[in-house]
Amino acid sequence: MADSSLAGLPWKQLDMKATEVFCALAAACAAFAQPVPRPAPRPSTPAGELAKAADEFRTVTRNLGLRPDSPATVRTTNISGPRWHGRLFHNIRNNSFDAVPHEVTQRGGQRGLLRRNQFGFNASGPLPFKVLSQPTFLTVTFEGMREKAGRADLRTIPTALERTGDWSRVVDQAGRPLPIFDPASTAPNPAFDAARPVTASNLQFNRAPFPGNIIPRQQLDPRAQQLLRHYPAPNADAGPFDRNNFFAFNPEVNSANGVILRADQPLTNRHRLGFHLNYSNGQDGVAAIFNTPANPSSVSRDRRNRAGTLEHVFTVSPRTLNTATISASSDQYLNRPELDESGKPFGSYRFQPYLSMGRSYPNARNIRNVFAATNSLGTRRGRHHYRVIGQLIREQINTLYPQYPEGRFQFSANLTSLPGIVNTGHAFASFLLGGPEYAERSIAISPSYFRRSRYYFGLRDQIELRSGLTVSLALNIEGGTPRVERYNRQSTISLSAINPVNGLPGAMTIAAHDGNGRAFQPTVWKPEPSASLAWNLLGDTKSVLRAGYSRSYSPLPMYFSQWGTQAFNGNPTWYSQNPQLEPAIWLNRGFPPLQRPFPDLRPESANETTADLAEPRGLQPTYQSASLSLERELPGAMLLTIGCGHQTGRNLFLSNSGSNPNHIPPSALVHRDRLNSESFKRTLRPFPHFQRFDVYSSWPEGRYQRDAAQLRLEKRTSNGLSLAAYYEFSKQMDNYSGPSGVQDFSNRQNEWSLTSSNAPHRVSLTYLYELPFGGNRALWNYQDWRRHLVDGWSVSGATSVASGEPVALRPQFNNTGGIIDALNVNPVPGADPHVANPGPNRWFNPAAFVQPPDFTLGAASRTHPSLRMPGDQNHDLSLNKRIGLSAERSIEFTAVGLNFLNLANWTDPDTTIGTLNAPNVNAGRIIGSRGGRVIQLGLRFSF
Amino acid sequence: MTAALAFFALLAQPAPRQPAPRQPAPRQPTLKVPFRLESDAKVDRASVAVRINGKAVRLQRLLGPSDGLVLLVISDLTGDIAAADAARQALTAALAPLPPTVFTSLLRAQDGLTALTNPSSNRDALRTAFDTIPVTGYAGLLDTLETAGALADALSHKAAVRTAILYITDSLISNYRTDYTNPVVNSSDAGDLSRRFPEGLIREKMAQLQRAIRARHTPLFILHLRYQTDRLNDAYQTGLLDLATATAGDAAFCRTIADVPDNLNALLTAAQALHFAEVEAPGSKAEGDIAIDAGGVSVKHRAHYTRPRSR
Repeated sequence: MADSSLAGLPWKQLDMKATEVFCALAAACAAFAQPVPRPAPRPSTPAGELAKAADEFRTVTRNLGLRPDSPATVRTTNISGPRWHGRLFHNIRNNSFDAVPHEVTQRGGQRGLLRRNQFGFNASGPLPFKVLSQPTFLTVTFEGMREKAGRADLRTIPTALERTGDWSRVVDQAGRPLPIFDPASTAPNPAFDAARPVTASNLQFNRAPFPGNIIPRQQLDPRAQQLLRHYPAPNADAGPFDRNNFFAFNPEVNSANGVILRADQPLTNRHRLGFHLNYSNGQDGVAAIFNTPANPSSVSRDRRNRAGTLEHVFTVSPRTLNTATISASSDQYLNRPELDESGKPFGSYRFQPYLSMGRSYPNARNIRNVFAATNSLGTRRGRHHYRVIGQLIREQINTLYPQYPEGRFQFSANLTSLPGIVNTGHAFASFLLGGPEYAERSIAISPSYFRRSRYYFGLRDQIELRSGLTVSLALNIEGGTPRVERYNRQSTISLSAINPVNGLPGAMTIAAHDGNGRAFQPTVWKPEPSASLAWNLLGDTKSVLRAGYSRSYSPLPMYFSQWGTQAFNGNPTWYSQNPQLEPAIWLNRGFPPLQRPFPDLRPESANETTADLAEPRGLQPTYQSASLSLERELPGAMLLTIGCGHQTGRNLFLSNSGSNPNHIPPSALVHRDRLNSESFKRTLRPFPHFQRFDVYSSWPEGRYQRDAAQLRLEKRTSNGLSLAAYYEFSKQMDNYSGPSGVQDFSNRQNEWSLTSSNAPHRVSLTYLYELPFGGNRALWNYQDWRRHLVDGWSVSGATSVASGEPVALRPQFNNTGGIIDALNVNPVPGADPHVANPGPNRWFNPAAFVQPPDFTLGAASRTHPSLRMPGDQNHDLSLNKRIGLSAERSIEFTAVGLNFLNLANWTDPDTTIGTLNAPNVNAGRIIGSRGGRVIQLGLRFSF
Repeated sequence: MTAALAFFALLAQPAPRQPAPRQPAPRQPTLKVPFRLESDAKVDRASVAVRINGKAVRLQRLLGPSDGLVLLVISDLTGDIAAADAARQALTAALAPLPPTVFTSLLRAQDGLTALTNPSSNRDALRTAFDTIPVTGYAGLLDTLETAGALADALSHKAAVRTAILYITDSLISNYRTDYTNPVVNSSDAGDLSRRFPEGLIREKMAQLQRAIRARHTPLFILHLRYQTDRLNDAYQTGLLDLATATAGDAAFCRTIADVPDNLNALLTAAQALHFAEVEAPGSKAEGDIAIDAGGVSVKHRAHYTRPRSR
């Protein structure tokens, strides 16, 4: 006891003088003689109470099993330890809950189609038995989904008359009769003046129109007529004229079953194992546009996804942690072919602007396996926090992926036009005659087994330079081996090898043959530096200035494709020698026989084809970014962030529409109509013995720049309301993007324009409001049964609004002899492209643009610098009601309204610009809108 | 002589304390209402008035900053070594000047609450224990909150001390063993709307905890070392703030490592300034609203209570 009684004093302190002793004795006697007053209760001292609390702490923690010295029977039932928790849930959607989609009502539909059930459970907790000395914790999640949803599609297909060859009622984009010419009547014009451009008054070839604009039945190709049996009849009339005349609203059927399993096994206090498994099977359905073998929509596929991770965490010391991870994943996709009556997939027949028949990749089987081993070591030393990461990744692609096993046939208006005169002829008329301009066929002899490895080593140091200033420096070294094929079945074009046919550079070369390595690109190592800082401005912790810079590279992706195996899996192509005069092949004769069977490893085996070309230098996309932001805490639990960023990228991988290493420069347009002759054009190509190269989204020529400023406001809960608002203004430019491609491959600077997907203004708002009634709230604070009705209501919302993307205008015709893939339009001097009140009838002024003259480039940019497509907005709302059944059991009811305001977003306007004489009357118009409110109801039981 | 002195000395001792008369069992359970003054003003028992469900109740006792405080420091560090080290240094610096009337104890939240040091004014023991805590494992704040509250309540029921809980955490919502993130199970399910509002599970857990902590009276303070702005962690951290403020405590979120010392000091200062008003709980109602008038001084206080089912 620490009170002031004598008992607590050492006896030697009582060693007093005799007089003092006497006085003390006297006082004691006097005190003893007097009645003893009853002592008042002494107030307890903080120290004493604290000691009592400490004793209680020991007792309670021991009894609750919270101490190492707790009895074993109690410790194992530590009440705060992991227990089994989980949930059961079911979400349903049905079109009877929803608004009818706008795109359906506009075509006269009365109801949508949506049946969806999503269900599953989750449970997590310790295993009831021990596998090792420490308990094992398990989390199991299952989710299943069954869905049948209608998808709307508005397209243009030929009328019944057109199919019979009767084009007497067919009009062009301006509403004027469209003449169809008979290719069989073609003859050189003896009066042609080669010194003057080809015009209607100076024709190079004479060709007679079909009498009455009707193709005689005997000239219709029998194979084409046979194919047309699978082409449906028009069923709509959205217009203008006979366009937008086929409306499809067919179901898409999807299903999925998936499991996530997580296990966590502590080994000792310093070692821990974790295991994670994902398993998902399903069907990715695609709604048919029409229900015949000629259906042109994508192919439905079966899917199997597996992923597993094993992780070991080793706490070396309280300041040093090592994490080692091994992971493997496998994604398998199997396309579901739809066969015609002959038991084969339907070929692909394309005749723009009409909807095509048939589809690509009808038969496909793809597997991607990824194996990764990662080790991460983090340690703290003084003011430094070091992190070292090493990673090894092995990727495998096993693919059998013929794109057009039954052929692709591309038709153009040329064959049925008046040669050299635009706005004559029609691609579908050329189809009726059975004369494609281009044809190809995919011959997959064997699957391809691609492999590659990637390596990653990173070092990061986070330094507290001084109070309030933290700097991070990092250097990553990323390397990767190029793609190889397990059986060396790879080929490409060597741009330096001499072709034996003509002695010019450019010849087929084979992996692991003739001194070649197994790959066509080098192993690449790249340093990726980055730096960032966080600084409390002027020592004020309410303000943080952040700045960052990084430079990174992106390895060449491995796609599901057999591109690069051309010598083993053939992809023969047939081009017309003059599309105005003759087709590439005739439909009714089929493909010409192959000169040699595959594999064909000769250097000249890819001559006269579209040859697969791999970029040989191993150039990789390079990204740089810099950012600056200022965060400021505001009163009311608010945080305001203002920031800006600058990003650039170069050597971005482009596809065939963005890059063509065998292009003919636009300066060759001076040759005008001679460019229609393949024999002439080949003299202009860098590699004349190849038609063009297929670079398969892997040619490093792209460049972009993005500048953006952001404003973000967050507010934590106050009176039940929390929200986050975000606004971004951005401008992104590039030299490749767009719906059609690049006009001038040889002058990238001319292609520098707004990125086709750049929406400059983006606003988003998310919010949560706990409704102010129920228990412990301002309103209806009932204590009786009514509390179950009014308690636990909340509303969540998410709103996003984005301005439109740049308008990308295209001319109706492209009369450039086939050397310009994507032609731009010409601006009309003095004409304002903007209109006062943009609306569906007139979104922009089409008279401000015009089709460029024949054999000239368009002067306008690829994307317009100020015209924008309609913006997009979406407002989602979720209403939740929680009913607490007990401390740990509850039921939650959820109603989610996607686009709950049922607002429609306009579809894009028609951006095709006609000629001065025959303008596209639909240009600048919007013919519909899309969207519609969707409701999902959900019930979740949590325990 | 010595024997005589001893005899008289014994006589001079106060009479042995009589056992305190057994207090009649209180008819009404005691309700402890923690509150913090929003200014540096001082209050005494006479200036504090407490109303439960709008009715004034008798103030039995008022504990203030001069009374003992038991601060349970709970480590919930799972992965951010840099932030954890900053927290260690900040805690060491912040505990040193605390008066001996503040007893501190260290617990750990991973795999169930574990007591590492007993409450005492010996800061070295806590610092040493804190230094050796491994920064790994799964987050445990949400799982241990109720137990920590029960433990702290037990201490203040046993002794006339104020109690407070201080969590030091770097946990993100994805660090929990229990699944609150509702991860995508079927990646191909493009029509999935169930994750459009992904914070539902977190909010449900927070609602459960809100309900549970109404039966506890110990204020909760949370020092979060990693402020995050993604939607899930925003919901998580908002929930933590709600939990803390509902108990008259507070939560601070560090946006940089430099924020750690200041935020920690602010929370410790707030914990030291706590008052506990002990009042008679109204008899019949299992739940109620609390209002405090501290002589016109603005206060932050626990606004609701639920009577515990059992202690």
